[in-house]
Amino acid sequence: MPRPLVICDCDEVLLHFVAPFAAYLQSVHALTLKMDSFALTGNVRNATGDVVDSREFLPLLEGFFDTHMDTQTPAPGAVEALAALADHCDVVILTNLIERHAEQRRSELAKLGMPYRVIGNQGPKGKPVLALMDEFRPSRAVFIDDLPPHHSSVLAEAPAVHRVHLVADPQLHGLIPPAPDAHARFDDWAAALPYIRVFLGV
Amino acid sequence: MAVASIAGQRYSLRHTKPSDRPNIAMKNAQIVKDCETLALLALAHVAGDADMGPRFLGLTGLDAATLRAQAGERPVLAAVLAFLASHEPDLLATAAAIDVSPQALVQAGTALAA
Repeated sequence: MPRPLVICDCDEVLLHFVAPFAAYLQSVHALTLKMDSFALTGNVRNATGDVVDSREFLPLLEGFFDTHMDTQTPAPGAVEALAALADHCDVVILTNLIERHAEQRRSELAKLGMPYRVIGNQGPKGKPVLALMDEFRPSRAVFIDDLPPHHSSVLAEAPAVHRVHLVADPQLHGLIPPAPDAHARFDDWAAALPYIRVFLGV
Repeated sequence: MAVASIAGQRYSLRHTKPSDRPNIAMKNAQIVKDCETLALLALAHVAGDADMGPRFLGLTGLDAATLRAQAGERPVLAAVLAFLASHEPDLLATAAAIDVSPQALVQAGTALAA
């Protein structure tokens, strides 16, 4: 009998990202990340206040995942919420990461109490979500992500998937507007979990 | 109470006091487009509320397990919106909690009951 499927993002949904990334930039590279707007690339500055060029950004991000992934801690309620859903549903973590970090992400999440399959993706998430729908043939499916463009991509490629916009970091609540292509927006797992359970009937 | 009588001018956005929640007020009001999502948001809140949850179960005659299993079905969704429309304090509290306007909930209830 088909089970419901939960497809969930990782950074700023399950694990804090901006604060540990900012701490890494400061301690390892003497750079400052201040979230004046919802963008990472234009908000990283050196000691003299100059914005770090966007071409230098990707190596910084990869450096963080190489050595500091284990400084990321779970968002409040995330571990318990996924555990409750996993009792009744298949759970897959779909996160934008380069290939070599996906296995590390899987083992870090497992260590934190989230022992689920991890898919490392690059780019929009609509097509990998569609592939998961074909693989699992779920009774119902929910997609959970903090970034509005991914909701638009899932709407375009796999419109049957219910789209939950969840931003689990209070620092970002005011910076990320509700995703226009999501069904509903939540700012924490305490509010999102009852909704997801009602939708999935679990 | 007839739904039509409360769907008009008595409810407006100001009842939800967005100023009390400056960062997250009415976020769902900006994006929720369909009656089912509005009703699911309302049901998730009502079912989890220590006061409203038991009253809603009592009114519908459902037990918690049956409610959970049938939560996405139209009769249950219509029932929760009718439950809210029948009691103004429940309606206002739920609308504020899920960041939508009370009027949107009343209108969705009318549409789902049709």
